[in-house]
Amino acid sequence: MNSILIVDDEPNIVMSLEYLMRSNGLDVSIARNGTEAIEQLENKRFNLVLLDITMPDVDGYEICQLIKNTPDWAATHVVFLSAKSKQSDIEKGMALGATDYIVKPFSTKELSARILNLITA
Amino acid sequence: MNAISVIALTSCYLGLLFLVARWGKGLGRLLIEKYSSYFYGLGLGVYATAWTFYGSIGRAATNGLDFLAIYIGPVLFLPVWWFVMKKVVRISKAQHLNSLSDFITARYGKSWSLGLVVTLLVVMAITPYLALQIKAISSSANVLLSDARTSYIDLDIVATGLLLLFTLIYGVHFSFDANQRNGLIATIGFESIVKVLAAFLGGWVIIQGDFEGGSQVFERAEAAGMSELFVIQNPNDWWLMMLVSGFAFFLLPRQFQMAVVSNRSERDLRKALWIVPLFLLLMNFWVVPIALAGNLSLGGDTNPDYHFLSLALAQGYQFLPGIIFLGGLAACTSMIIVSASALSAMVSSNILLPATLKRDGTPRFDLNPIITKRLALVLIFAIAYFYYAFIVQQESLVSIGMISFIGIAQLAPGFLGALFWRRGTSLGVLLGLLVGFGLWLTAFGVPQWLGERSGELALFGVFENWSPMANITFISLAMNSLVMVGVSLMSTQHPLEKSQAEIFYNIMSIPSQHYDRSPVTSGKITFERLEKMLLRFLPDNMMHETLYKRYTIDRIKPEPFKEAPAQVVSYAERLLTQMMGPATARIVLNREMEGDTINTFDIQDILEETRETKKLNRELQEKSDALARLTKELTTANDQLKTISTIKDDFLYSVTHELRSPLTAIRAQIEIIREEGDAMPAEVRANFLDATIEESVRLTHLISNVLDIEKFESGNQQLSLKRLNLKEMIDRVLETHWALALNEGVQISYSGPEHATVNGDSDRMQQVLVNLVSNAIKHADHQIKIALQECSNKGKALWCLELSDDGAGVPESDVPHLFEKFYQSRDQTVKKRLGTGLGLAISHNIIKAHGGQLKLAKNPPEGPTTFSFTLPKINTNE
Repeated sequence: MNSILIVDDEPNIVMSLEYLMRSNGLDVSIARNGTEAIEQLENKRFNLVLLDITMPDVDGYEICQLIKNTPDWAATHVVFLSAKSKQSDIEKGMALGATDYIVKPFSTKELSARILNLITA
Repeated sequence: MNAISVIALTSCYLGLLFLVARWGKGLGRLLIEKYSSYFYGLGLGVYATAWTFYGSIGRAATNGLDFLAIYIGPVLFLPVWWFVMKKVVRISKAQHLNSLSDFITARYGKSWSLGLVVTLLVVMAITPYLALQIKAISSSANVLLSDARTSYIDLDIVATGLLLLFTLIYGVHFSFDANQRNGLIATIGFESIVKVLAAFLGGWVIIQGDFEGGSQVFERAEAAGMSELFVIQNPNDWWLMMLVSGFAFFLLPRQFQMAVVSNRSERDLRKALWIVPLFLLLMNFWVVPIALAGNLSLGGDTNPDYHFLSLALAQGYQFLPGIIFLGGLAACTSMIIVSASALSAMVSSNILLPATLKRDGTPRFDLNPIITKRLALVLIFAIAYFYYAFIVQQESLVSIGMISFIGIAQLAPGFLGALFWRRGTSLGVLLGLLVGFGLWLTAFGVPQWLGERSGELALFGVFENWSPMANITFISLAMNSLVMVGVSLMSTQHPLEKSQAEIFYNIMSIPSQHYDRSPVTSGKITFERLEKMLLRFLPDNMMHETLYKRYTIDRIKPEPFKEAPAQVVSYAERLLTQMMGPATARIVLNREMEGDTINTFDIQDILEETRETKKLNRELQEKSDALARLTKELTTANDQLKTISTIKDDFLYSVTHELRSPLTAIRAQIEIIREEGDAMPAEVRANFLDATIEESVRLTHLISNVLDIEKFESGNQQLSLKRLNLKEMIDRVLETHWALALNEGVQISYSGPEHATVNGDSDRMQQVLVNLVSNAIKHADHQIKIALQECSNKGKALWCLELSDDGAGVPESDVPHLFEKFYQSRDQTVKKRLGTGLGLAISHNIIKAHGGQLKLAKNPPEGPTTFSFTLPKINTNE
């Protein structure tokens, strides 16, 4: 079963994402902030990480960098999911090795489609 | 000492002077140039003559402290001297003026008759003074003779001869050859050092060595009844002597020679301001003790003028008398050399050279100016020697010196008028001078010719309590000035004089490039004729060198039969002036010019032009400054706008970012509910809907907070101020929060008065309290304390509210940003995150708008986390 890690500090957004990904048949793990995300990553291999950028402790960019620089995790897809909508923010995320960058708010259908494409490809 | 050794000593010293002069022109040149200001200061030491070296002691031995006026005068005048001489030096350099008579005639229309009168006056005033120096050399030499009663030497003729020779060689030259001057500068500097060392060290040895210091001398003198010598005996004459010696320091030909003609740079004048006083102090340091010591230990039949030398001899020193004699010799010779060389220039320019010309300027015969100067020198030495040999044998040194000073002072009105009064005319100065000169001659000359010794004609007794000499000085100077001013006001200046008056008066503000243009002659002359004219007075090579240098500088091609341009003619005139003075130069030049009217060109125009240019420049500068200022202001304003715009952008970006989070949640949840439809368990659906509502509420908060902050930041907030009881407000907020606090396990306590009146907007104050209390509940572990008390700041009564909790405190890194918009703690121990990041920023603004201040008063570890704010206290009795 394909596994996915959702990293976001907004409880209500996490709630929707969790429901959405479960109904797509994915194995879902949750992290409420950067530190939790790193713990999860150390315990388990994920096919994809859905990553918020603005978080209280370690921000999304740093986590992406960490994933791409750790040989064991480097194969994991990183998809940013952020309210930061500036072109420069998006470029920065892609430059760090992310597979995709989706701006909040998003269409649930589109999000599902993109994620499934990536995982099953 | 015997006669042979005295003659040998004198000759050796004079020989040494030749060597020093040679050194100055050769090897010493670089040294003189490097330390020109010190040489300049020493050169001014030529003021100290035999009168200072011997005469002051004689005067102090008989008349007390009167002699001091002669030195205090110049020292007091020095600041004025500096101011005046800067002008004189600049004018003289610009117009190539080489003597006092040049200076005065140049200003007053280059009038030959004025030059003649000035020269005659100076010669009559100075020649006796020269004679006195010869006498001093001779007398001091005879004091030195061991068997003075039986033998006598005619040192005077030897010394005079040697000095004449020296002056012929080093005192006369083509004055535009700057290096020639160095011989004279080196010699006079050397002589100043010799005389000051001899005076100071000689006095020291005698007084310290034989009289155990000055105080013993004074005690003994007092005991011997000489206390009248400790005071100024004629205080009425004092001011006059100071005035006259002050003038003399400007106007004596030897001072003018050293101060102006030998000056290298205007900057050198500054150092003279301390060198001259120091020099005069050292020269006079032992005068009174020596005078008293001489009176005490020498017999009454010795001449007090030579106390210094006699004392050294009486004490049996071996070398000291010789050294003192040399000091006195240096004082005499320096005066003779410089004065004679200055006088010879005047006599040559104003008497001998004009004598070679017919009335219209046609030459009778050609005489090189160097030859006429040498001729003049021989003449002056001859007159001085004649005067010495037949007239002044009995005079004391001081009285002749003083008479000479008063004569020279007659030049003061014309001299000062030249610099500071534009209206003075040549006729006025000439008549004034003749009157002053005539009175002086009558007072001092007539009695002398009648055979009265040092007599002053008694008919000048205007002020009874003044001495005759003071009366004469005052009357002659007053009449001189009155006539000069009166006649000047009644006569008119001719154009050249007017132009020169403007230049002299305004010299400091005329740009140097106009010096060249100054007194232009308008007639015509060809290059060939001009060069031929110069050749009559100048050696071939020298004329070509200077003239062709000039052509090169001005980029002029001299074609023999073409007309020479104005600046060349003007330069030629200045060359002539340098050799023969301005008046004779003008006569010579005018004769060669065709159509000899002067000066189409007006100095007024230059001055006007300069003033205009300066004014324009100033205005331009002001405009440019203003522009620069404006540009700077604009740049600043632009920067501020940019900053504001950036802040606004950041704010907007933050706002949209913050809006996106709740919107994201709402959209996602609603899309899921719609998509899932009935497939969704009812329980989950209810959760989703609750979350949607929560996020909508958050959105509303956010929007009203953003609007609030915008209002406060743009200054558009409107407070409806009322009297509020702060305690009541706190109670109300606590009521609404008790359930939440209970839920979190937090206790809240209050300490403070029941009434605390402030002026405030009730809704806004509530907003602040809610924000602070809910924050505190969020962060506290168990306890929140609210304390209200009175406090004051700079004498203003305030309410001070403190709200502290026992939580972990604000992280160090967050403290500086606490009151910034959208700043939320990165600390993950925060229980949950529902804030908008605007609460504290808004509270801060609200308190500020109420005239108070919200701050983080304490933070662990210094104490429990404490926020505090102040509000102005309202006196409830009002």
